[in-house]
Amino acid sequence: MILLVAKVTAVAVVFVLSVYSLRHFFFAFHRLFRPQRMNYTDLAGFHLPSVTVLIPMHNEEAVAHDVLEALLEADYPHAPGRLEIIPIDDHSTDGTGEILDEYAARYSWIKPLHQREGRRGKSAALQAATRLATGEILIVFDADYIPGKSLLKFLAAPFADPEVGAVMGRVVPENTASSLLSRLLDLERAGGYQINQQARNNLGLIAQYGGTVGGVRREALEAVGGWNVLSLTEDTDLTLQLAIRGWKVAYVNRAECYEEVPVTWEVRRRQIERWAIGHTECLRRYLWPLLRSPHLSRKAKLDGVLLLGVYLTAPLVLLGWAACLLLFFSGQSFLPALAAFFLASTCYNAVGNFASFFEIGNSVILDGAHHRVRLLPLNIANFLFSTVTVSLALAKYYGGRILGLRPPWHKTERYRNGNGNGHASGNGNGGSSGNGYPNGRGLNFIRARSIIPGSPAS
Amino acid sequence: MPFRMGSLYEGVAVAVCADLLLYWQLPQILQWHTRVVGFLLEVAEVPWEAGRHITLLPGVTAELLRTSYLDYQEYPFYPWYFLGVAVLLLAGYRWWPAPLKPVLLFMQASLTITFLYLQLVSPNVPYSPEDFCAIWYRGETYLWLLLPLLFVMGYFILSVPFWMKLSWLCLLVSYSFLWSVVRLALALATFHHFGSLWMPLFYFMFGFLADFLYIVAFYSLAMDRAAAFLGKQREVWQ
Amino acid sequence: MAGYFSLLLLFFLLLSLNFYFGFREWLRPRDDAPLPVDVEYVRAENYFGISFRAKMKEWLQTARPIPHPDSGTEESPVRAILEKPDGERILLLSGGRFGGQEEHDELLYSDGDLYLSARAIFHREIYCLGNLQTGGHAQLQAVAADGGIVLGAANEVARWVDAQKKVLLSRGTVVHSRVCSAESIELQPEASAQLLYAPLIFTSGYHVASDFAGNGEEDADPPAASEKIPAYLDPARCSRLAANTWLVRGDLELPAGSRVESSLVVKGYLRTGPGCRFSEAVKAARVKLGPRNRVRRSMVSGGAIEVGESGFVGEILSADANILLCAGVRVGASSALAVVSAGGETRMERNVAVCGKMAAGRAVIAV
Repeated sequence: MILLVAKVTAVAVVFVLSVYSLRHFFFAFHRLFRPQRMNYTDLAGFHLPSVTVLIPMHNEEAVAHDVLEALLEADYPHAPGRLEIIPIDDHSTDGTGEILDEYAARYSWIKPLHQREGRRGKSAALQAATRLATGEILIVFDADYIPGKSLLKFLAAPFADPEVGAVMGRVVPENTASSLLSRLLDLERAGGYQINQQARNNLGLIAQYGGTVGGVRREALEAVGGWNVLSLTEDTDLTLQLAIRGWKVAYVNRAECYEEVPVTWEVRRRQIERWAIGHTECLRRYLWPLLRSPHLSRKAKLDGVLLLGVYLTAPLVLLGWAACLLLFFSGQSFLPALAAFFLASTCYNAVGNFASFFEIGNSVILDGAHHRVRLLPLNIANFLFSTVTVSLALAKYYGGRILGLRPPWHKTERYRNGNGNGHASGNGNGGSSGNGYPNGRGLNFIRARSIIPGSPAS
Repeated sequence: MPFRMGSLYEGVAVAVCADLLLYWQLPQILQWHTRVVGFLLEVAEVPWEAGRHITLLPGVTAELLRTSYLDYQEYPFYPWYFLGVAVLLLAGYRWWPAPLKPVLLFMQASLTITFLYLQLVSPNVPYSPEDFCAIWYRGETYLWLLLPLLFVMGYFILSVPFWMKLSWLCLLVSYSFLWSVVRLALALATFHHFGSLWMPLFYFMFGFLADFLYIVAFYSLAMDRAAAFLGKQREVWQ
Repeated sequence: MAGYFSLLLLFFLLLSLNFYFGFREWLRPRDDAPLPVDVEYVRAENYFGISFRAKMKEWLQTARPIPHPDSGTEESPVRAILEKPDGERILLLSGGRFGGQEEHDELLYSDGDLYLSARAIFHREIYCLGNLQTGGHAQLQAVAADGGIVLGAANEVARWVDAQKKVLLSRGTVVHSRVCSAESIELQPEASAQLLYAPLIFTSGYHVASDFAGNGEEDADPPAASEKIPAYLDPARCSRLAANTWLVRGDLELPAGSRVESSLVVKGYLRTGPGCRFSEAVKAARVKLGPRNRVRRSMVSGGAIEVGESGFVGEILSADANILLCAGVRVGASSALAVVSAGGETRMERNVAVCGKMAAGRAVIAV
């Protein structure tokens, strides 16, 4: 009986993972060979709704100047009622609040919100700020992001389509040279956005709103009941709520913005843990409503289910290995009857696992990059690390649920301890922050690097 | 454009031809495989003899190698010794680099589970080295037939010269044969010198996982060279 | 055991080979810079023209003159030849007629009005400080002019056209990339381009004097959306997507003279009778607007859009497939530029005018 369960489990795991792999391959081939839906890019600058930019900040004095300075230079009309910025000082204990007040004194359309009481966390901060916002469109940036001058126009353009409830731009890691992890995450992001998100957008599936470098239509947000303050991943939560109620999430590959990615494995572990738990909570909350939604096509529902279950693949992989181990020790591995299983597992290991690497490889070509693709074999370490971390996080989550505990919210650590404007902060180290990330790589650094000879900007 | 749909069709045709060629030559390849493994076993001071023949695919049979295990009943301290090393490694777990921790964990798990099996269930794992050889041949044969298709899907879609694509495919397949020979020889030699405790490790980590690893490594190098080629082709104004 | 350890060494050698290049790239990085994102980038539709003019000014300063036998003679308008450091040549012209039925590999710079002969072929860019006109069947790489540009019949431009004044694309002329003008662009039948940008883009039959902007009707604020389901919607097939947005499952046919005050999303085919008005944005899988329809804001489709005769769209017309603008259609106004964007083709009939930008995945064609 146990052996039968192990056999069925092993084959089922291979089947489920193969479905995910086929999805990756399908996305990649669709992205590479089918027409791209990029019409929204042409609308940039012609559809200028009133926009409120929300920037949740918790102890962000190291990076607050950069994001605000960058937004001050945005080429979105700074006319009253057209653009407002609400930086949210979310229970900060450092100088974030003072920095925001300083900007508010200089610019009437920067309206900081100081949250000192009530719930902490990004979604609660966004919920509070949304009540004050006057814009038709709410655009959200994390504090460590540096938006380019035209970014707001690119993000606002898709809202010309009344079916679009949210828009997502592309995030590009800026601190790639900081560590091996940041380089691997750079590859992972490239594959995720350049191939996966764009393909989903092309196919009319559920492109994911990522919580930053993205916007949401206020009317749509109100229609789904606002930000879910109980969610650890308010972005996934919102994506699903919008999709279930008939709104579309658009992805704009051209709306690129630099971000900081985790530099240390410990920070990465906490980040993955939060995503895995938040995502799995969304699975519990929205799986049934998603399947019953009258607004989604069958293919969108299938993709939605796969999207919701994506973090469950990690424990599934471990379960598959456990089943294989059991079969191995029970002397089943060489039986001809299991030849089909061997074929399936060979296929999975060769073809299946390969799918995400295939996405990354192609994104490197599309981005015109070069040697970084050589790091791909090292990404297997990232894959194993994520598999174990996600599995442990989910075990912790389900254990916590049994005990009635709420998972804590961890803020992702920032590495930009000083910025190009000379606003040194953080630990105040000289040339390096001590974690491999050089100081002084803020807005001015990026600006100096980004000027292309011959361009109008230069 | 760096990608061409037409190249994919061309690639699928190449994969089909490569598979037909492989299928036709498989008996000879497997014969060569067995011969070289035998030679490496001799180098590793492992006595071996020709084993039974198994049918892998219609018309494709392979001759297995018969070797022996280290008998743990004769050398009972061996499993304990390896378990001790494993525990020591586990004790230093926190100092290992984070990305390597899962690999280390899997190694530990494999050794510990096998140790417990040998102590509590049976003094030997359920497979003889000859059985292991059969499992290995079956898995590798399927993979070799899959390799061309997998690689053309990943690489032949690029707008790079045909000779470049074909060279990488040939290199990959050749490496696959060579790497399989070395791994199987080392596995059998390890079983002979250090016992069956190591069998799951070779089966899981240095089996399918190692296959996956070299596919990714070759793919990354091939993509790197393709990116360099495509970079040179690009117009200045692009 | 020496033999065994040799085998072990060989094993680790081959295993490490899998990681070697990855480790090398990690420890001695050659490509660890972030992917380039130009934070300074500001979208300029006439970017190529601006950039080329700047480049040309730079080249004129750095290039050195080389002797030219015909310089200054009456037969040739070439007054000098400059050579760039990379060996490329720039012909300095004083205006007049140039070309002949031959191929030219030099950059052209003219400080007067220039006429390029019929069937001439120019492989490099041209910059004219005055007006530029070409004869029929000329082939050009790219053209910038500080005056106007008239491209003769059946010209082919490999890249872009940029003018400070009017641009005329004569019958059958094809521009493979973009055409920009600070004044207007006129397309004669069968002329096409991939992207057009100007305060006014029009096809034959349109009279500039009859400017459609500012008639006041479209700019008036629409009445507030009602809480009730509008009469033109079937309650069984519609639901409220948001407070001011209706969603219709399936097709929708609006009778003549309908007034839609809320945003509308139709999952199927939207067809309208004559004289319908849309105060807010509209989206449908496929759209066919009847004659004299007026869309105050945007009209978006996942498929094709056909705007019936004498229709008007105020802000945005965007379709994933093709767009057809029937005779007499107006898009945008001189005070508020609009955009027409199609994933496939945009076809413009006679007397169509668009203020702003027209972009198409394949081409914008005058029919």
